Amino acid sequence: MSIEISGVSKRFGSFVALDDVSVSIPSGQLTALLGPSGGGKSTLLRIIAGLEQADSGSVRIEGVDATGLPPQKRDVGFVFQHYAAFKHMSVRRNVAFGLEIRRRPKAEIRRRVDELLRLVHLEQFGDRLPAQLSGGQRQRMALARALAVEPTVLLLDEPFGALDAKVRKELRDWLRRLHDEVHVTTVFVTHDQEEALEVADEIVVINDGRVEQIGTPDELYDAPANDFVMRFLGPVTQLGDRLVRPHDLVIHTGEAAPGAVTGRVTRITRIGFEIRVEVTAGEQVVIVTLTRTRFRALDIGEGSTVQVALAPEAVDAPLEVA
Amino acid sequence: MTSATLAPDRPATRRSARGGRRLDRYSGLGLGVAMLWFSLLVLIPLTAVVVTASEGGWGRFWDAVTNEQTAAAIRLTVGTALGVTLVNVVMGTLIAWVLVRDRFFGKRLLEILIDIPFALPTIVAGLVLLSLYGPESPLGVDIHNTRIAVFLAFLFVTLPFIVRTVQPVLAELDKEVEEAAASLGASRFTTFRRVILPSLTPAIAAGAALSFARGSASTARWCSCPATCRCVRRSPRSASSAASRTTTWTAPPPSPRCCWPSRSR
Repeated sequence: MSIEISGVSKRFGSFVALDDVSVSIPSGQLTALLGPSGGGKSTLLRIIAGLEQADSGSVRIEGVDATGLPPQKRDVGFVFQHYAAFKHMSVRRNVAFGLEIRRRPKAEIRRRVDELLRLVHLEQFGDRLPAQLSGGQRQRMALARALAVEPTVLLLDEPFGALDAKVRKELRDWLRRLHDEVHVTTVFVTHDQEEALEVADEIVVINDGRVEQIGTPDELYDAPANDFVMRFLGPVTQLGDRLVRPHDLVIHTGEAAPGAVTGRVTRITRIGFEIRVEVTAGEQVVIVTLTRTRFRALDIGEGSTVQVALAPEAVDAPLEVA
Repeated sequence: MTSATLAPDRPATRRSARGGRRLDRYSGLGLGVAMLWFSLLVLIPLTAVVVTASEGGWGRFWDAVTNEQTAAAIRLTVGTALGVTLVNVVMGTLIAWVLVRDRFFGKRLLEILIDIPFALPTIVAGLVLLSLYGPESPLGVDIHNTRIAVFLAFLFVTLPFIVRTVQPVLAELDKEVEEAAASLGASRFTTFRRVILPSLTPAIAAGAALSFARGSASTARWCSCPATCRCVRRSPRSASSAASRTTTWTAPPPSPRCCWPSRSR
């Protein structure tokens, strides 16, 4: 295990940011801390980096007790959401900063910076100032700067949060491939479940200062520990007293089968390639998503009476009484 | 090298060079008003100064400038203003830092007090300083009629300049930048020297320029008064009238009688 967090608590005044959190983060993997805003995931990341002190509990990085160590001595690379670029320094000087602090020989610094700029595709931008780069480029520069000192762990705090959707997707994909090459233990914070599912080897779901579930993206999606995790990882709807995914429901117009719910179609919305059908059954509105082909084959319209049932092998979770 | 592909990077678009735009009706009007105002307040009076100074011809001007008293005044002016500015650069930055970064009891009050030297009539300030550090000093410190006194008086009136120029810039500084430097291994001192200070330099320079200008203006005004020039040359404490004593302490018009040339003539 690369990072061992045990029993960490942190309060800000009366607000409990982390409540007795214990997580083990394996070496060489890409781990996502996923959860809603204000859930404590960024605080946990900052405690790992030493930018925040835990009120209680301990942090071990590669077997070394880092609980009381200042950020300078933890050997971690940190990437911030808003880049935290050194504005008055060129891209090269930004990337070289950590190496200069470590008083490495000039020739080595130059070689290493060239290598990193190639890695993040900024080789022609070395002499620019950060203000002359786009958001995505700035974040790649920040990543190169963090990687320059060869940290034992790389921590990214909502790294793509300030970028537009297209660049975000591109960088996400690129981060995954970069990690496959560099293999540094990486932890990144995100509130975007799609980002976590796509990029991470392992996901830690954090909510209200507590860990809700730890697992691979598949484990989390197929076997959510509770309805919070289920809700957070994707769209949900309610069928009877079960929480289900709208695409795990089937609609048919035949005889009422056991386990099926009878209702009337009240609304049909088309969103790109999928059709969203709202079925009102008594007090409950069930949302079902279908493909266009399936929808056409059904031949239904608003007002039709239909049966809604759970597809075989569907994932569901019992609804917790709030 | 990673095999990952990214969309080709387009060079970041640069803004067109400043001021390249031609004036439209509104900006023309704005420029006109600005120039008129500037002329009335600054350009015309300045020209008058130059004209008056050159009335007696180049020779007289040179004599006036090189005369022993004037030279002493200029030395004192520039020397004191430079010294005061230097102290302000260090202390002003420090005070701004404390005001922005630290939370302590009485911070609000200090925020207000900083501006007092701007607001206080300088003659009042002079009297206060005189009574505190003058012959009847309750603290037992008597520096009146010395250069130290002049220095202290200028420190007092120029204190807010650097504090007030540095403060907003410091407040705007991104805390994350410092955290980034720390996680890259930089000590607090290195972070200050290599990351924070370069961002503050323009503000410090602006404040220093103001402080220097105020300092030298004050000395100059003050030296146009014969009574004070005597004390510049460390004359025996002959200037004992209350008015001239005040003069030693305050920069700006110590007493109308002696310092406004228009009236003394």
